[in-house]
Amino acid sequence: MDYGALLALFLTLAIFSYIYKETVIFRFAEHMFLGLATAHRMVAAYKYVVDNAWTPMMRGDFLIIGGFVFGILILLMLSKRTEWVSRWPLALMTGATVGLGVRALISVNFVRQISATFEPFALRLDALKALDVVGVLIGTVTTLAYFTFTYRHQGVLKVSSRIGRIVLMLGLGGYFGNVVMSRLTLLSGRVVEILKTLGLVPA
Amino acid sequence: MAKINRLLKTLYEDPKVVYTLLWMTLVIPYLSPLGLPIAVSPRTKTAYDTINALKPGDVIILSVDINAGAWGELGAGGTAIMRHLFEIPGIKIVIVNFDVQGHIFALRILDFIDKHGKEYGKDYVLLGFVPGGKAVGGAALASDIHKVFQKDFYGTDTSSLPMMEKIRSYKDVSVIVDVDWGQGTEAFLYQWVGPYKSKLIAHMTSMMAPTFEPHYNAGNIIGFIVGIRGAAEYELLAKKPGVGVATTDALSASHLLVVLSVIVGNIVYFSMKRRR
Repeated sequence: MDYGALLALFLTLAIFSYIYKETVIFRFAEHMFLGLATAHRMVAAYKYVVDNAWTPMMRGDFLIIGGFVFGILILLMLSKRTEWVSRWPLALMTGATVGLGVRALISVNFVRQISATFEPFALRLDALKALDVVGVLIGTVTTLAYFTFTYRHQGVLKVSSRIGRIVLMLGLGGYFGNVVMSRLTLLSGRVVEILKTLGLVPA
Repeated sequence: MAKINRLLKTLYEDPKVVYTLLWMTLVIPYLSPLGLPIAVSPRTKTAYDTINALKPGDVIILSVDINAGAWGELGAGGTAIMRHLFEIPGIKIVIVNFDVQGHIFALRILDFIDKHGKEYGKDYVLLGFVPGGKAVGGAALASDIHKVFQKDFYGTDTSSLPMMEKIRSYKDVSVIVDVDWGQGTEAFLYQWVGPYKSKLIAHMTSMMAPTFEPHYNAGNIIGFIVGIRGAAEYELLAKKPGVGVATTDALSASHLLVVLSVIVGNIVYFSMKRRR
C-alpha cells in the first residue's frame, strides 16, 4: 500500500472540496501546504548557508566572513532602532541584481528581437514564413502606433492604431487562452494521479 | 426556447455543474482514450533534433524547475526529455534547479527512468538548488559552477566528482535544457544566452509560453516545448507515447467543453437580454 499516494489523494480531494464550500478539511490542506512549502524553503536556505558559507569559513576561507556579516545585517530590520543598518546589504543586493540583469537586457530584449522582426523577407524562401514575418511586422508597427500619444490619432495614425488595438486584443486573447489551457492541464495532472491511485489507469 | 434558456441559465449559474462537467471531460478520455491526432510543431522538433545531435563528451545543464503545482504540466515533458538525455551515449548531464522544489521532482524522475548504464558522478550529477535568484545565481553559475556548488545535493565535494573536473563554467557547457514554470528561463536568457551566446532549449507551462515566445522567434531560445501539448509531441518524436499523449486527449475534450460553455453562455445572455 502506497501511503504517500493515499495522502496525496486525500489532500487533493480536500483542496477540491472548496468547490462545494470552504470547509475545515480544505483549510487543513491549505495550511499544511503553506507550512510545508515554507519549511522546505527554510531548510534549503539553511543548507546553502552551511555548505557554502559556514563550512568554508571553518576550513579557513575567511574572505567569506564579509558576505556572512552582510547576511546577518539583514536580520536587523526586525528592530525599528536598527532597521537602517539592513539597508546596506539590501542596497548591495539590489545593485548587484539590477547590474547583472541589465547587462544582457539590451541584446536579448531589444537588439535580437528587433532584428528578428525586421528580418529581410528575401531570406525567407518559404511563403508561409514570409507571411508570418509580414504579419509580425504589421502587428509590431500598428501596436506601437496605438501607444503613440504624442500626436492626435488622425488619418494614417488613426487607422494603424485601430489595427494595433485589434492586434492587442488578439494577443491578449491568445494569452488568456494559454492561461485556461495551463489551468486545465494542472487539473488534469491531479486527475491522472487520482486515477493512478485508484488503479483505474496504469501507474 | 424560453424553457431551454431558463434551464441552461440555472445550470450555468451554479459553478458545481460546470466543475462536474469539467471533471467528466477530463476523466473519461483517460479511461477510454479518444486517439485524437497530434501534429508535431517545428519548435518541438528543433528541440528534439538538437538534443538528438549531441555527441559523446558534450555537457548538458538540465535545470529542473518543476514545483508541486506545475508537476501536472511539466512532469510528462521533463520525464520524456530526461529519458532521451540518458539514452544518448557519452554525454554528461549536470542537473540543477532554480526553484527550491526542483530537486524533489528531478529525483522523482531519476528514480524511475532507465539510466542506460550512466553512473552518478561520472556521467551525471545532481547539484541541487541554485541560490541567489535569477540574476546573481545565474551569473555566478555561468562564471564558476564549483564556487556555487562546493558540494552536490548529497553532500559530496563537487571537486571530487570525476565528471566535474572539466566542467567549470559556461565555456564547458554545450546546451542548456530548462524545464521550467518560470524561475530559471530568465536566469539562462540574461546570464548565459545574452552575454555568452549559450544554446538554450526551454520546456515551459502554456501560461508562461507567450512571455517567452518572442525569445524563440528571435533565436534566443533555439527549441521550445510548450506545455503538455509540447510534451506529447516530444513523446511522439521519441517514439515513447506516455502521460503527455494521454493528457492531450483529455485536454482537447475539456477545451471543447470550454468553447461550448462560452457559446451557450453567450446565447443565453443575449436571448435573456432581448426578452427584457
